[in-house]
Amino acid sequence: MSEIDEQNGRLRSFLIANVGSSNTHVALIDVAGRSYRLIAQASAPTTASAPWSNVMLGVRAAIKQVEVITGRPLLTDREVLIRPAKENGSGVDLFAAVTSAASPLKVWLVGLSDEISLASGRRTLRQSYTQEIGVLGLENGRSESDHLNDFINHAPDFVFVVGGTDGSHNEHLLHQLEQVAMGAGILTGSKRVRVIYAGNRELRERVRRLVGQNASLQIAENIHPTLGHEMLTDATQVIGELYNDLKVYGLSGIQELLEWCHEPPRPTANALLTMLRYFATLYKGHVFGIDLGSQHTTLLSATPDTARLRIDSQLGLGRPVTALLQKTSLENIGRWLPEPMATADIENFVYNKSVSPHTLPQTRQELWLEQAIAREMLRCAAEETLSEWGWEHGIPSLRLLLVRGGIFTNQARPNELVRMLLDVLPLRGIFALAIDEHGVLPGLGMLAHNEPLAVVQTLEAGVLNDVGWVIVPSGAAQPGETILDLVVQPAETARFEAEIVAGNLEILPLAAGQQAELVLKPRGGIDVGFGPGRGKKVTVFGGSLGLIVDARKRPLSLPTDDNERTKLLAAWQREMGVVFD
Amino acid sequence: MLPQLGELIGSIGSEVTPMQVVGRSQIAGGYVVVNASEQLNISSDAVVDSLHVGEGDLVEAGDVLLRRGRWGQKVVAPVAGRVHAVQNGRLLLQRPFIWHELRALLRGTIVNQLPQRGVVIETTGAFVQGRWGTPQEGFGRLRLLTETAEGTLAAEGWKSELARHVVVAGRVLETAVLHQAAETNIAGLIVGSMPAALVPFAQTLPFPLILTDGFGQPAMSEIIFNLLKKLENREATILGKVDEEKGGRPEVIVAATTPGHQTLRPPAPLAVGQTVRLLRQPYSQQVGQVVKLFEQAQALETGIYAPGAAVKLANGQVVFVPDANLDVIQISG
Repeated sequence: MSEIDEQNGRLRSFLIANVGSSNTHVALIDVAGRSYRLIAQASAPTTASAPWSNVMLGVRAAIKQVEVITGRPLLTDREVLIRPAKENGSGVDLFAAVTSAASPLKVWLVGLSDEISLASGRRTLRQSYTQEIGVLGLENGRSESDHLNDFINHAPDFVFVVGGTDGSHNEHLLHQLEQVAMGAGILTGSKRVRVIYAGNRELRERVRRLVGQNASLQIAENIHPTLGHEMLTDATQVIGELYNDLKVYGLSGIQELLEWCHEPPRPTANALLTMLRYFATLYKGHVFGIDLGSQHTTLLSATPDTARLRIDSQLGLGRPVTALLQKTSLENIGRWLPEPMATADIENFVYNKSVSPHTLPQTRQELWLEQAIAREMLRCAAEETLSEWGWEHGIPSLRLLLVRGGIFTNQARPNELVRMLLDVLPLRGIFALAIDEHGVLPGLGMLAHNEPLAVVQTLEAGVLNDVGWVIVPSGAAQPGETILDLVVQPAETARFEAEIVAGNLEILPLAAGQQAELVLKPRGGIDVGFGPGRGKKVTVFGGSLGLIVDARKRPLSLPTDDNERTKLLAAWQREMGVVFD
Repeated sequence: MLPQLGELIGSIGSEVTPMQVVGRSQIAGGYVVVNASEQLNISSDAVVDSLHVGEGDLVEAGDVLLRRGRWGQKVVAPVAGRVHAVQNGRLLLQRPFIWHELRALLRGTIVNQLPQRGVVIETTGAFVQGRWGTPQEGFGRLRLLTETAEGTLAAEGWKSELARHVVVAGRVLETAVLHQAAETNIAGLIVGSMPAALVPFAQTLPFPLILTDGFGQPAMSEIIFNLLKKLENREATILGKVDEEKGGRPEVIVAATTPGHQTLRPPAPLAVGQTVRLLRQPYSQQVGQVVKLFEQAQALETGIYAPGAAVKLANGQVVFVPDANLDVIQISG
């Protein structure tokens, strides 16, 4: 398929819906002048759940806002999408959708050892919207009866079976599957259990004989075909298809959306990963992405040769926000507040956010609370992801940090967003930072395969908020010691120099879009991404904020004394150009 | 709805009372796996050959399930139950069934039946959606225990006559009060708010608890408190079980004395003239009236731009509130 409409020879127009768990974004992409642009975007609360229980109400509400913004009719009087675009300018040619609105798949994980097969199984599951509700491994220490009764009570959406390298003679997995078969047999009357088998190839036939009668069995490639070799792609794809079948197609009102779509909707996280791969190829470097959503937290990484993501479906700023309290303390959340607050008040706020996930902060205090919660959520997600990906020294040098999610796009001041990220992420080196402020990146990822011209031109036209380049030096230094010399030669303005002092957080002026040659001269053993003490001349671009330098000692250590801590937080905010009222 | 397939009692058109049983199903009392193959270190086939019982047989604890030869090793039933299956060297014993009865909990008419699953009951009354609740159901007559919507429920004064009543109060602040309510055997509790720290204890209560306005110490919305006050002594049903996947809310239905014909509709799009409840600070829990809708997003104090409405509060002040922070209240009759 190409962007050219074969019937009339003109370029096609696109309407993309991103149906999230809290908000639905709709973006109109069309040719303006000689190239594709984001013409307008709008959002409305997602209406997949009660009391609306029809996903189309939110989609239509967002489309109507796009109509108001553009003056372009997109819906008929009966609220049906006008397709293809008409000569009078109404309607669009193609409609596409991505979604993360459905609840995660509930999974029973079955495997052998905790460290190898179950760990790989979990890595596979975290590439899709899933929630592990039970596990059966070699070391679970529970009786078969307890396991069976739990299995029946939880009635998982599917059982994911992993374990054994191809050709290995370990038959323990069959013993586990005998228990699954018993559970599936009992549930047969009320639910046909799905089983995805991604273990030792040699056992496939015996697995089929064991569980095939009582469950719907799907075979995927072994995720551990040989020792030390992990292959998650095929199993991930099978799980993704199951998610669409069981969850996405089960959303209320989705049938009408499917009728509008030119191809089935994709999960938001996977569509976003497509865009990260695009940027990684374009920049020939590492791109790290963060999607802090209402229902899920997704961390992504792409290089020209690799791509991976990790979805935590129990960590989100909406309904599941109370689960954060199992990973961190109220005190840890409170330490990020510029004004001290009682932990009981923080706890009440967290619970209220959980029961009204789509609401927006209207006061500074509530915004700070949401930012504090987001910081801890991000910190926990990053810690778990880095550990799982074996990144012991923090996030490897990157070319671009890409963030999205309501908490970031709702920041009136990008400096607050930048500080949130720099406060909790183990970053280093020099990289650009951009926000998907219109929430369109996953939608573009959906179009990328079939409509590359539209995607590339829309991105070139400036669909992201380029905040600026960030320098995070690392290495031992005393507070107040000069650790880095910078020479900045902007293309259109005067050259300037700066000495960076350990402990400081600074923004240097560089106008949005302006190119500059930047010479970095680290002192001593300081590393700015090119090795200890090594400098370099690089080309950077100004953003909405400028050139950001974070020379604070990492990981950050906040004073326990309320006065000292709030003074320090206020100083950092001042350095970032934000003054508290 | 029945938790498992079962049988329905009554037919479409039948009048039902709250405590009337409209369906019942047998719930398995759990399963016990007896891994005979492992216990006797014999093959699955040898287990089958040694069985003294068959699938479907009832057994008592201590009964011999299988024996190797006439005097050989044996495996006995650890519990009483029915032999559900013999599979892969294991005997699966099903403990005795427990009957689950589905009560109507509402006074009304059965208007539809979902075969083997449940019934749809039509009733007339006031309908209140809570913000949070414990996943239980309850039924009883409404009794207000605080004079005002700001009133705090006390640990004292819980008379035995409150048993089987649905108690209403502005807020509850202490575990001791909930403990007292449980001792009094009330049928349910509706309060405006409760500190989040009480959640773990609240989830162990034997009755349903509903918060109409959220966590912390806010009072119950005046509009809800006044409605419940007006309906005191009427039959109230608490439906605390919600489908979390579908994002449902706990509900209270208070029966009307005379049948009506107004059908409960899904929330209408925001419109001028509607009564709304404001969900976030600085107007949290206030009720107002929509006086203007904005087509374009407006700036909030936080700098966030959001679509929303101008709302006239009870004190006459008109404020801009994002759509996302408004709950539409449907008033009729």
